[in-house]
Amino acid sequence: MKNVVGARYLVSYIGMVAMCFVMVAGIGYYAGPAHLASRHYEDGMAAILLSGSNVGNPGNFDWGTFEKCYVSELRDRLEVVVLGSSRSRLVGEHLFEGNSFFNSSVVGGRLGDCLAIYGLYEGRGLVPSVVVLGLDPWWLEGWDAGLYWRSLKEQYVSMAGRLNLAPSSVTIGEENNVMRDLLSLPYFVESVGNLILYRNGVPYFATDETNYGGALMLRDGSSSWPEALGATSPEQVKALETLALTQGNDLVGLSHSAELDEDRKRCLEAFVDYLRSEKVELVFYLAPFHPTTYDVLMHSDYRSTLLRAETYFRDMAHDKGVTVVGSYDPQETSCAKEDFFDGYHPTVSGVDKIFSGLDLALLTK
Amino acid sequence: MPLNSYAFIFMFLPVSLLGYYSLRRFRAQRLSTAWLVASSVVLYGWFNPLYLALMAGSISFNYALGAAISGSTRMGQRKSLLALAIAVNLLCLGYFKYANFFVENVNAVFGSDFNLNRIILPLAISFFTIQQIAFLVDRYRGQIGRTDFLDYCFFVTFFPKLIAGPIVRYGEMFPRQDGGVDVWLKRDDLVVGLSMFFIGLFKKVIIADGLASYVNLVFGATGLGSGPTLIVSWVGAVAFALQLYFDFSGYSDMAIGLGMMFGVRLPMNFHSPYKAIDAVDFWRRWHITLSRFLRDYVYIPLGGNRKGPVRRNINLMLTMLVGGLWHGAGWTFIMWGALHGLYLVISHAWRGLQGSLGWKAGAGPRPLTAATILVTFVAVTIAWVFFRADSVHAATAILRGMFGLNGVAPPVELSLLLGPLKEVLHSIGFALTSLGIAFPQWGVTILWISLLLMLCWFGPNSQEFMANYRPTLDTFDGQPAQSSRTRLRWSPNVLGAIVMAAITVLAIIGLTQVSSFIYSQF
Repeated sequence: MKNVVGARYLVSYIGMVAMCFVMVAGIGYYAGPAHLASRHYEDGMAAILLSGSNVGNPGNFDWGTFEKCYVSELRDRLEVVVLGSSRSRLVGEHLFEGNSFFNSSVVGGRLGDCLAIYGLYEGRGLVPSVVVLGLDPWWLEGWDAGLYWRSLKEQYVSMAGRLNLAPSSVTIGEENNVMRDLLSLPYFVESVGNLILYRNGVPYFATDETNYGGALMLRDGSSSWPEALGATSPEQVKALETLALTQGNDLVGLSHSAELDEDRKRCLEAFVDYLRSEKVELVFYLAPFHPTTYDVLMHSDYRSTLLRAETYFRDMAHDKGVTVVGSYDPQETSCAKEDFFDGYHPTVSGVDKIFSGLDLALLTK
Repeated sequence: MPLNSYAFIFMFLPVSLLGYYSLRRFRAQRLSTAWLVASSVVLYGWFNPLYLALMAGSISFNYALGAAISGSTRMGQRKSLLALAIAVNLLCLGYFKYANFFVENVNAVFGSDFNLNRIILPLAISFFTIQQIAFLVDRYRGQIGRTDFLDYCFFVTFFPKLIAGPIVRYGEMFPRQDGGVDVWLKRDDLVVGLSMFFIGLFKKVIIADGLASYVNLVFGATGLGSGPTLIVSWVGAVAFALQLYFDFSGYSDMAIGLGMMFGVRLPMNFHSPYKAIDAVDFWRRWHITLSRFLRDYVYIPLGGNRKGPVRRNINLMLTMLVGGLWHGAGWTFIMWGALHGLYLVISHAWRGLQGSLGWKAGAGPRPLTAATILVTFVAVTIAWVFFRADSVHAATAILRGMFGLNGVAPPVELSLLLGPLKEVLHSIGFALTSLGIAFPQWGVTILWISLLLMLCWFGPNSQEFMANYRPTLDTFDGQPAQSSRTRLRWSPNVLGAIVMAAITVLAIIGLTQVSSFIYSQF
C-alpha cells in the first residue's frame, strides 16, 4: 500500500519541531525571567538601591545574584541585616531607627540561603552588628529547597566549612536544570510576556515613590507589596489554606512529619554559635501566621510540626541567649486579621506590632 | 507509566515501536503480538507491580470461562457459565471499587462500626473488567469464534487503551493489520498516529491542565464551606465541563494515535459532545464506547424500548444509574447518573413532541437548534457539578451559587478589569465584595473559557481535523469520515507541518508538570 504522507512532510515536520524548540529556548534565553542573556539585571537593581532610590516593579530575578551584586558594591559595614524568607521581607529600617540597615531576606529563602548571604557580608569584611534571622518552621524539614544559595555556591560551601557541617548537612536538593527550565511552558509563557511588555529588556525602574500601586523593593532592601495582590479577607485566606491542605499540597514546604530533622537542627545551631562567636547580636524573628491560617494549621496534621518547631527555636534562643520576637501564633503577637497581607505574610502594621517590644539599645550596645 | 510523561514519549514508545516493527519486518507475527503484550505489561506494572497479579488472574479466568462457554453445547450450561463469569467479574470489581462505600453507608444507616482497611482501586480495573464482560457475552451470543490466548491477552492489555479506553470489543481488534506485513514501516499510520497523539497531549497538558487550577480552587474551597456566588460557580462549573472534555477526549486521541502507530484502528470515543441537541444526542457523542456498552449490555438486556415508554424510561434511569456507579463509588456519581437518566427521559419526551410537530431531531428552526444545544450544555454542566464535587453537600453549595442563591456579586478581583463600570454596577446594587475565592487570573480565565467554548461549539474535533486520514475504526453515525463540513483539516503539507510542530512542541514543553488523567481514576 502506497504511503500518502510524503517524506517531504516528515522532513518539514521534524525540521519545524527542531526550529520550534530552538525558538522556545531562544526566547527563554533572551527574555526569560532568569535573564540568562543579561547578567546585568540584578546589577542594575542593586545600583538603584545603592543610589538611594527604590526599585519599582522588580519583576522576577535571582535573589542570590542580587544579594551578591548589592553586597559587592556596599562600601560601609551595616549595623543591622535581616536574613530569612518572604515572611521577613517587610521588616524595614524604620524599626531600627538610627542604625544602618539592609533587609537581605529572599523570597523562598531557607537556612542555606541565609548561610550563603551571611557569607557574602563576611567575605567583604562587613560583618553586621545585628542579624535578624526570620525563622520559618519548614526550615527544620529534612531537606532544603533554598534556591538562591546555588548562585552563591562559593559562599555557601565556605560558610558550611567554617561551621564544620557534615557533608550530609550540606547535600541539598538537585541542581537547577537550565535546559529543563528553558523548555518548560510556564517559563516560555513568562518569557513571551517579557518580550511583549518590556522592550528595553527590564521591567523595573528607579523611583522615589513608596506607594505607586505596584510592587516595590525599597532602598532598605525590604518590600512593599500592593494590596491588590494579597488575599486579605479571612474567607479568602481560609479558602486558600484549606484548599492547599485538602489537595495534599505542602504549605510552603511544611510536611506532616512530626520529627524535626537533626541535620537541619545541627546546621542552625552551628550557625547561631558561629554568629555568637563573631560577636554578632542575634534576633530570632518568628513571623506569625494569619489567624485563619493558624487556625487551619492547628486543626491539621501540620500542628505538631509547627508547635515543635516554635518550641525548639525558643528553647535554643533561651539556651544561647538570643532575643526572640514574634510567634507563629498571631494571638501572642497582638496581630489581628487586618495586620496580614495574606495567610503567611504580616503587613508593615503587623511587623511594627511584633517588633514594638524589641529593645534596640540592648542589641546595638 | 503515564502516557503524558517524558519517560513514555521518549523511552517507552520508541522502544516498543522499534521492537514491534523489527519483528514485523521478519514476519514474526506472533512474536510481534507477544512483544506488544509484554510492552503493555511493563507499562501497567510500572504503576504498581501488584496490579499485574490481579490483571493476570482476571485474564486467565475470563479466557478459560470464555472457552468453556464456547465449548459447551448445552444452552443451560452456557447460561450458567456466563452468569458465573459475570458474577465473579462484578464481585471482583465490587470488592475493589465499592466495598468501602458499602461499609461507610451501612455504618451511617445502622450506626455500626464496621471497618475495612482502605482498599486501593487497581488502575484500569473498571475498563478491563467491562471489556471482558462484553467479550464473555459476545462469546455466549456466538459473535466470537475461536480465540487464542495470546490474542486475548493482547485484546485486554493493549496499552494505548488499557488505562482509560476507548472500550473495545474483541471483534474490533482483529484482524488488526490491514495487510502489508512486509512493510518495514507504515509511514502514514506512524505520521497520522503521531499527530493524533500530540493533538491529544496538547488538549491534555495545555487546555485541560490549564483549567485545572481554577476548577480546583472553586470546587476545593466550596467543599470546605465557601459559598461561591453566581459568576464564580458558573465559571467553575463550565471550566470543569471543558477540563473534563479536553482531558478525556485528549486521552482518547492519544490512545487512537498510539493504536494507529501499531496498526490498530480504535473506535471513536468523542464527537463534539457539546454540540449535542439533547441528552440522547449527547450520549451518542460523549464517551461513545461506554454508551455503546451500556446500551448493548445493560439497556437492551433490560428490555430497552420494547415494552412501552414507561418501561423504557425506567430502563433508561437504571442504565444511567449503572453508568454513574461505574464511574465511582459515591453518592455524587449516583446523583450524576440519575440526572442523566432524567435528562434522557426528558429528551425522549421532547423528541416525541418534535415528532408530533413534524420536526426531525435537530432539524427544526435554526434558533431552536441553537437553543437546544445551549440548554443541553447547561444541563450537562449542572450534572458535571456532581461528577466533580467531593460530596453531595459541596455539589449543592455550587448549585446554589449557580442558581444565584449565594448572591450574584461579581468577584472583587474583576473590579480591576471593570474600570468605571464598577461604579455603575455598584449604583444598581451589584456590590463588588470579596467572595471567599481569590483568583488573580479571573479575566484571563474567563477569556480562555469563552474561547474554548467557541472551539467546542464551532470548531472541528480531532477526528474531523484529521478526517482525510480516517484515524478511527468507525465514524460518527456511520457517515463518511470526510463528510464533515469543516474546512479546518490537516494535510501533510508545509502548513500542516508548521501547525503540527507547534502543537508537538507546546505539548512537550507543557509536560514539565505531569498530572494524571481524570478518567484514569475510574
